[in-house]
Amino acid sequence: MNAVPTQDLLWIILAPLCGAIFNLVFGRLAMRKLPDRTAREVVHLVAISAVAIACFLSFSVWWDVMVEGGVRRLVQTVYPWIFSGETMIGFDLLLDPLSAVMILVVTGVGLLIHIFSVGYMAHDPDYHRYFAYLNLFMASMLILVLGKSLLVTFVGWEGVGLCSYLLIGFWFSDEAKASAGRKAFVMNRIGDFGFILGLFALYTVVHSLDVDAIAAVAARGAQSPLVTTALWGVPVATVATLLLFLGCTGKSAQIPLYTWLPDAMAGPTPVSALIHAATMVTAGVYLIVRLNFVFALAPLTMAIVAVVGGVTALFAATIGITQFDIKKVLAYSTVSQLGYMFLAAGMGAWVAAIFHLMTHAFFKACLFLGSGSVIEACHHNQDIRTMGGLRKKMPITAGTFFISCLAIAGIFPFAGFFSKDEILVGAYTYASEWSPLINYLGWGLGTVAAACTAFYMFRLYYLTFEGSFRGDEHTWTHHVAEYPIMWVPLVILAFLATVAGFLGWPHALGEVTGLHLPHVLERWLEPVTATSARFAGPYYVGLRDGGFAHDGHVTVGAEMGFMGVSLGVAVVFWLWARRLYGDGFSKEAEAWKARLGKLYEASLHKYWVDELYDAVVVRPFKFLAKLCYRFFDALVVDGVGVGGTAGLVGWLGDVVRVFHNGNVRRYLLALLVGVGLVLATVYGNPTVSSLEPSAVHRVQSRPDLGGLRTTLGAEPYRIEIGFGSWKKVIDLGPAAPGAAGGER
Amino acid sequence: MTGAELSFYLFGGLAVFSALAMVTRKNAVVAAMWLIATFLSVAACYVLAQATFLSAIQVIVYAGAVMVLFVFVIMVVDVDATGRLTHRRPSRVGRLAYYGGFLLSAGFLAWVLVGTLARQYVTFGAELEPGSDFGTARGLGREIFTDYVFPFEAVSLLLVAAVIGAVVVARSRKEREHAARHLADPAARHAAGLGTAAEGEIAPPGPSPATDFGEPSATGHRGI
Amino acid sequence: MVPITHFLYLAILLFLIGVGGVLLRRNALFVLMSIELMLNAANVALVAFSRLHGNHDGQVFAFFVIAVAAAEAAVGLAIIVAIFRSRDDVDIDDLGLLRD
Repeated sequence: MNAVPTQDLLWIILAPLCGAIFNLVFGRLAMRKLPDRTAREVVHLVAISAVAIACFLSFSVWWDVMVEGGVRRLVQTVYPWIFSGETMIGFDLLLDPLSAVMILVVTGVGLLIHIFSVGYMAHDPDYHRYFAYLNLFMASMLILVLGKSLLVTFVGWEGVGLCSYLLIGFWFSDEAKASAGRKAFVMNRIGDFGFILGLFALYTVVHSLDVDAIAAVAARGAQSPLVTTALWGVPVATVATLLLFLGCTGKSAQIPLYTWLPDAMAGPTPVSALIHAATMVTAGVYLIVRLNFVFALAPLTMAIVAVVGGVTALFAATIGITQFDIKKVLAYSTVSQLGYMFLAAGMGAWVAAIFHLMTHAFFKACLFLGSGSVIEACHHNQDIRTMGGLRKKMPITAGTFFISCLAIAGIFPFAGFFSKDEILVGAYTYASEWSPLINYLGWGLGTVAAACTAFYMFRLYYLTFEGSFRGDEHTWTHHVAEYPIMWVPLVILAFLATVAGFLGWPHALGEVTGLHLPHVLERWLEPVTATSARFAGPYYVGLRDGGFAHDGHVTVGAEMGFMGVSLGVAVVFWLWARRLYGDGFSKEAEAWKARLGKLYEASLHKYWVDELYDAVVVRPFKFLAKLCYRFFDALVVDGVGVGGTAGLVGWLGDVVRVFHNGNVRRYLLALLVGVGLVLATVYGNPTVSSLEPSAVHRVQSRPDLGGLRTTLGAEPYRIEIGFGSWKKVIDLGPAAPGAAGGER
Repeated sequence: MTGAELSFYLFGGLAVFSALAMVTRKNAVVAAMWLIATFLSVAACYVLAQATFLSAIQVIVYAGAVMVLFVFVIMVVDVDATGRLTHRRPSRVGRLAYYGGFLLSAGFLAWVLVGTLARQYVTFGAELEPGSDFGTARGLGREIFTDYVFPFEAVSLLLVAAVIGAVVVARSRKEREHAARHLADPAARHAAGLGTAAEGEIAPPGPSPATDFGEPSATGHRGI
Repeated sequence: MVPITHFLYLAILLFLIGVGGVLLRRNALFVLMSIELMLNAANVALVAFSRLHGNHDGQVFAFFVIAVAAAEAAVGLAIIVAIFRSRDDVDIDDLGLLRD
């Protein structure tokens, strides 16, 4: 049954980690000592083979164990990580259908992007650093995905955040890029803060962060302590999931923490493809689906997730319409598509969320890599106003880009069609405490966003690849050719973007076409969603009672209706985009721009959200920081603390120096004063000064002169010392009289 | 008042008076003479305390040997009578504090010692038998060469060391150079406090007024 | 018979005069002489106690003190001579060379 040694699970993580360590430690050395070409070969071969090993292991363990072996859960205990009292958190890895999907996507897309990077970064001086970070990211992402305990997941969560920061600010000598990295990091910190608070909240009830333990607790449904225990009058499940969702908004760039993602485009384009499109930003979706049984117990959170997702989807899509930076368009598109996933997750359509996560990884990675090719070819120009007609120069890129556009716009039969359709159907048909209002809202937002998506994606495509070139002559003539190392990954991704949709062949389509393909992904993920599927009452997840449910599926008519609507919307806006931008910016487009006026301005300026945040949050914080710096740091710490201590020491030194001046006579005077003080203490003490002379006489008869005189046979004597009411008698000499056993 | 008492107060008063005179003189030779007077008076007091041997020692060693040494040195040093009071006068407050501190602590010391002693030792020494050897050379010698023989030897060693040290320290640089002229060994030269100039070469007695402590040079260190 | 106490008074007076000499005079020779005076004062006290107890310990000690005082005088005077040679001065307030 267990054909693969369990170590393989760990090596999936360790392989990229080793690659990262190798490149961090030896990369610089290699780049300095070896000839440039050899050094780059060494660096990227190590990095790529590390990811390739991880990819191979992922596929082998998935195929051998899960598909062939029929084992749906693989748990590997690496080592007990934290022991503290009753808390026991193990560094355990869990491979179940959900994490299997994730590791396949992550390692597969990651491998392609690593290969693409060889071409894209070919002339970068910090080659080794780039690949080290990329490998480190892979390791962190795999920890995130494979962690059995949420704390292990959190380690990966922080790790990918760190790598994201490092890679956004990869060209940190550019101030804007460095600050984009900082922005991403800070935004993520806000989310992480929510994440860890959510973990605490869960821990208060479950007393464990193990996913299985949480599932066991949550499986009791309405009787679960997650629901019955209240935190500030709100069920723990709601509090915890809201906090976790805050973490998700940070990591997955949802309102209100999305603004870092468009800025994250400052990083190298393959990084944008890998981290800010395909993998890292989907961690939030993964987390929600991973904890679907907890989220299902919190209808309020679910509704919030759905609404936030839907609003983000539309909001970002409208911004994407007016952007001119090729990567910015794709960034807002990513935000928008992530919004779809959250919409699905919020409605309880877990499978749809993961489905879209997967298809999105393919076509968005393809789009980003294609834009990377374009940017590389246009001498690092990213403005689509100076592009156009590039299809003649780079047909493969244009072709794959077009396929991906079809996919993301939701044109049949490309992958995005199926996943987006499933989301929209889910949004309309799934039950919620606020049904049917939330269904209309979610579906409406999703559909309008889908229209915008089709529009801005084809606008991007046409402005970039069709029409005539609008840039300068030099760029056109000195165009960089397409290298296989860059177009092969594009083709593979485009292929995946085409066929991945068939993993989620809808039931209704089978009825109509007679092609009864199983919904592979739904079956595959069934063990993951099984717990929440059993919930009832207010926690019910599934089709709502609206007359379109039939045999556990949406009826054929309703399904076909939704499909028709979304397909129709997509096609209409595709054609409209073609008409407006088919050959550069048409007059009609200008007219529309003028007609929309303020609305266009708002979209162009991203609704001034950055400015708003700047005014509401950043500036007050900066002011506060400055205040702290001026008052607390400069005055209290530096002034009183450091300066004061130094000053005090210096002052004391000055005071003491008066006595310690090398003047012998003053030393003698000090000695005299000291003797006077000692005598005053002793003789000023009434007990001593009132001693009878006889008492003093008794003290000494033959003083032992410090051992100089032989003490053999000397008489014993006793010393009485008194101070105040305290009195002590010391017997000296051999066999002191009256003392039992004198000391020698 | 017996004759013994009378002579004690006489010599005691003389000792105090001459000690005061010694401290207050400006001329060092005169002060040394007053100090001799003090020592002699104290020697007389020793006799009254039946410490006859010690009295002799006091006269021979102190009033004789030590004071002769003092007078010699005073002649060598030959500071002018007024001393040098022009430089480095402490501030008024400093002087006030200094003298105030001295008077206060000295007065306190005197008060405590006198006060406690007066209460506790208003007594006479033990009566001595007529034929006792208390305080004589024989009596003291018996003690010294029995119980105190080790300290005695130690002190004799100390004296030898002190004499040699005094000779080494007090020699002038010229004398030391002369003694080291035939020393080729740098270590020996170093031991002689001459520093290690070039091999086998004698440091020229140039204008640099090196100190006599073997420091490299203390030029410009006058009156720190 | 003279009370021991009076011997001690004498010792105290001499000692304090010695202390005063050390503290108030700046000439190294005077300082050294005052120290001799203080040692002598201690000897007086030792002799007095020796008389009080009727044994020789105090006197033996005084004997040693005289020996040590002689050694101290020899070395001290040698140092004074050396200082005088290098500095033409025996003001102890100026002898801060070793401080730095």
